[in-house]
Amino acid sequence: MDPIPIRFQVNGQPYVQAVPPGITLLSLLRELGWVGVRRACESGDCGACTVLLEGDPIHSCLYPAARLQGQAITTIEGLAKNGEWDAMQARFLEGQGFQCGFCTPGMILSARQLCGEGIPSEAELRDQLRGNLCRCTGYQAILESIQGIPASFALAVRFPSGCRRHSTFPESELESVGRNVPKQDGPQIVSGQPAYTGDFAPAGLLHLRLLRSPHAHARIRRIDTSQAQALPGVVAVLTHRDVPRRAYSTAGHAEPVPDPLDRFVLDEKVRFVGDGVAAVVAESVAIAERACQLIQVEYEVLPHVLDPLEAMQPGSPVIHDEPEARPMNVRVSGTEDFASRNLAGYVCLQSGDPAQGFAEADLILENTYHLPAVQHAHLEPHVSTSWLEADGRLVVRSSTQVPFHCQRVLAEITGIPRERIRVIKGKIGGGFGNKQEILTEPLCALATLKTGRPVQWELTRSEEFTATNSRHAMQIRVKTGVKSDGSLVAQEITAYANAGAYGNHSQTVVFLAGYIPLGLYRCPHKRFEGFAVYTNSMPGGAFRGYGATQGTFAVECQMDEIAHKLGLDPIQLRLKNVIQPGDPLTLGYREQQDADWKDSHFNLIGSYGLKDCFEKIQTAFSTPLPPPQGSRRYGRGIAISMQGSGLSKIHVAGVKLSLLPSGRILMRSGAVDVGTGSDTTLRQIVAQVLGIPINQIDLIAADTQETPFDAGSYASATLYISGEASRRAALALRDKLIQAAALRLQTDPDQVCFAQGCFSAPQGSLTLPELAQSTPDPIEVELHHAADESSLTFAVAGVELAVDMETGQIELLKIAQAIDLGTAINPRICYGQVAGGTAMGIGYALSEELIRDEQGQILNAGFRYYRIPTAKEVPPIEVHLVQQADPYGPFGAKGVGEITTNCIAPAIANAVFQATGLRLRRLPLTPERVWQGIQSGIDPPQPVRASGTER
Amino acid sequence: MDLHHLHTYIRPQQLEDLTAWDPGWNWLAGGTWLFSQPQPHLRGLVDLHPLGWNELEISAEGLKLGATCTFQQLLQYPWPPHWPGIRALCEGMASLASFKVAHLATIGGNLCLALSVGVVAPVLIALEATYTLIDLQGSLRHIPAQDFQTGPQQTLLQPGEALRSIWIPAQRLRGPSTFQRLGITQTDPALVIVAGSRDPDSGNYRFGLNAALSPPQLVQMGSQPDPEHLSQLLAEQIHGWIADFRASALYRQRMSEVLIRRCLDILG
Repeated sequence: MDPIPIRFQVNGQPYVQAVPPGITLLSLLRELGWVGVRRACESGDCGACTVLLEGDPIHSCLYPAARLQGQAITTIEGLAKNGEWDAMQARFLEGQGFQCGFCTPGMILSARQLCGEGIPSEAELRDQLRGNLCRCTGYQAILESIQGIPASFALAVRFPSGCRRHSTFPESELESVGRNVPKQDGPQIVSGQPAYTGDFAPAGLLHLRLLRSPHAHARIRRIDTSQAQALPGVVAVLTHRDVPRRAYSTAGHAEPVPDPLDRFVLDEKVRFVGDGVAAVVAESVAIAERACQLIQVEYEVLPHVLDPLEAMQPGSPVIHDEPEARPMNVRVSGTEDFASRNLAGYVCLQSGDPAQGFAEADLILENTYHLPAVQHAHLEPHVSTSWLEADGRLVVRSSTQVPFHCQRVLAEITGIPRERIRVIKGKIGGGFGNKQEILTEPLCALATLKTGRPVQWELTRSEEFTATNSRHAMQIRVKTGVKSDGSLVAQEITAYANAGAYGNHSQTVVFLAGYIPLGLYRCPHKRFEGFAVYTNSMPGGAFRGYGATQGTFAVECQMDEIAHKLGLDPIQLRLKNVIQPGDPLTLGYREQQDADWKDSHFNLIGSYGLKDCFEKIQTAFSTPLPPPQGSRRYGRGIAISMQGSGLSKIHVAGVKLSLLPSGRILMRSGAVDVGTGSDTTLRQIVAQVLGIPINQIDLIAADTQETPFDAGSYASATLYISGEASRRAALALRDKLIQAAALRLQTDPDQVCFAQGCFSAPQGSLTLPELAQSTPDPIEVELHHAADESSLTFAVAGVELAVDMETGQIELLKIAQAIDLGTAINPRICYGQVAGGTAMGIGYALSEELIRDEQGQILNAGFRYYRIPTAKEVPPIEVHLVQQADPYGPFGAKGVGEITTNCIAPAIANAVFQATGLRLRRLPLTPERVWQGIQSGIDPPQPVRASGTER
Repeated sequence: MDLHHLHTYIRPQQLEDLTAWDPGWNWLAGGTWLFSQPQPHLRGLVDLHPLGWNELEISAEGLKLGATCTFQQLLQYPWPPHWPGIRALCEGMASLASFKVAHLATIGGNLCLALSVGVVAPVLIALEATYTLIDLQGSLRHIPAQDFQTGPQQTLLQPGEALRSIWIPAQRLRGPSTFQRLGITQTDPALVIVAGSRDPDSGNYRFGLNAALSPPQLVQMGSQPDPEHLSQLLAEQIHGWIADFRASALYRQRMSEVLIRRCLDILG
């Protein structure tokens, strides 16, 4: 290979060097330290790597570096001049046009070009921005930033805000809760500063690449790694013979984990196309990739099974037959053992007597819904970097939602004591549940232990799509009996979930698929049976909504159908049946007969703003529906949902607050900001309690060595549980501060007033820095909190759309969603959660699906054919934050992270019914599926009276 | 993405610099597709950029486009207002890629990739274009647009031969044209592409179909057909509708009909 001599400039800095012929400008720039250029898809589809080449924005992942002949390149790092933001950076800060920030540099560079001659129309912006994917924001905050933010979202504090050293603070900055405090990492995000895990490369860094199975099910008979080992630059090759054989689960859960321990770091058996076979650790990614291809593997190909219903049949290939694995210990009445039925999980819940309920029904509907496997598509891939400290401690920096669970799992796998392992969460570029999985860390750590050197493992986009996790594909049968007045008398759900090759999260995801939608309505007789079934496909895992999304689609579509069959208004039908304050959620609560439900419930109703949510949505769609135009038919639909706020009793969050000698507050929190902005909202809570501006609080977050334990970012828990821990810690600190000030002022604590960072008493006054400097012992507080209650958040969404009856294409015209979230600690951030969750729901409804061939190979493993919504496919989203303070959450706040996705797909399907008369029960609603429905003229099934059921 | 298997990158200043051609080599035009996916068979790239084949020449007889004209160059060109025929070309290019790819992607690159989702080929078929190919010895040959592509990712190009330029006759440029696409979403690679053009004098129609089939095909009609006639025409003339994981052959065929009808409405 002949290196190609090139010369170029980056942000005014000249470079002359020689590069390999196939290296892209993206890799070159990142190697040179310009890490604001992001590696996300490497196929030119996402735009995260956008740079300016001689002033023109290009995708640097598509540009061969060998082509450079003196050109000038500008990256995000080169935009700000003389300490002044570029106008577009300033706009994004003003409008908070970001969440995780991974797409932001590309977004800013692209928008800057588009607005060179004035701001284009919204339609034009949406069209032109289709080369910039964002998975977090739903594009709404991005467009608002570019166009100018609505006054209602004006920021509470403006950048640059600098560190103030006044003895008292401006009054305007003392109220934090309920205000649009800007994300504290905003300046870092818009300037492309190094922050994400992959942005840091320790000296002597090695790179890991994994050879993956081409077979869905096979035993490895023989592996010959000699040729790979011999390749110059290869430092180590690891196969199943080189790693500890300890069964674990990739699911990041607190102990006792609810997941089967069925996975090995590397195994002699592979269970899906993409399962790990052997790892190469080498001096460069290129060498590691080449070496992977030199590994000779002899497979004994085994029969495979991809369909969960088939996998449950006797005689199907058994996917987990290894004696070391710990299967789920759950009884399925009247069946043989779990392994031979490939069960990864099983849930059965019942209240009342469904048979009796159905006998009383005037109408019984029974339908089956099909939900696809979809991918999280966080822009930042999974990435870990591991190294050994001088004293031999193992350190892993990772893009993880669960650093503390990761530390525990690493200790279990490696046999190293937990306290000798440090896990540091890097800044996360989106996770959505897929980083509640411990995927890259174990092998990375083992490679460091083997080589003694720092190792980094970053997944490719193709690996993200084929070898991480998906939302569980499910087949859900819903049978509902109602009286003719619309009251529910019996409801029964049976769900078959495709767990894939490993059972991580399957039991709990299946649980929520039944528990949530059945819990949402009052009904005397309910039953849920859920099966999570092993197959030879990529595992299902944690994904925003966590089973509730799937179950909500099924039940909300059927509720709409019931309303139409009974001639009732769909909103009235729901209002008639939906749970009300005071209703206990008894279904799904364990040992129901033996204990008082108040002591061991799973969720409860705290604040209840559901009726306001309905009103907001009704008002949003109060104009008449447009009449048909040409081949276009218009329709509207709604859906409702609920989701818990964290997990009561088992989700623990720790916070430590200290007064620094400077008078500032140091907050140590184990909580994980997955990109949502929780590092800001948690500080808002502390600032509010202490009555000081948020910029007086320094934060160290999510580092197992430096912060107290926190279970991690999942189950919509962060604000609700870590936020309450923050509030309690701040209250305790406040008391301690006042006591210390009283001592110093030689008075009683109740004589001391603490406001605006100043302690005053009749005897005199004291500022925070003065107190800090005069106290010999540090003033600090550390506490852990687990919520006794998990309050339910409710949501209602409405959709207006047009269906082209000739082509089956659906065009979304408007979406409105109202969320009953208690108190919005930071409305702008909550708004971002709603808009982003809505866009994710649009993808689930219309275009996203991992498609497999019969051999188990995923056919659309990239953004080109796996389509997440672009700005063009997302309509304007109307967001309503319905605020009624919750009695349990911090300052009345409830969880908002997951629920925002649940309602969208059923609302769309219900709107398609109104437009076309078609009930489509399989997602996604691709144009061809809609067209087929129109062609075959499926008549909506006729109502059947109590004499029988229909399928 | 990085193409770790590449061993060679050549920047010829003129075609004559290349004395031999290795079967593991490929021409590099914009690179926007080549670098978008693994190319394990590729060993070398020969960059067309220094050859400066991006001329754009307008004459009374028609339009000559060098093969490495970028999408951006063509999208921003102040086209003569009496050439509505160029509209389909611009609509097609605009539909394909973001403006950040348009700076680099070339018209010739899109043609020579011969992807079923290619947008340029069906337009140039509708516009009755002719392609000029050049080999390493400098000999030229001229190929009608509809004959250039022989299958998915297959063309008449011989090893070492390159597309040099494209000729579009003024007669077609003077008539109305349109580009219609349909995908699973508004921005994905198309499932169905129809480009249409009407001869301003004779009134006859030429349609270039792609994405629903491969290679792209020409459908001609002398006048506006009725719907049954159109279905029959397609059934008789067109074969090889694509069925894959994204859509069935039947859907692609029917949607091609729908888009042809929509083209006819626009073309008048």
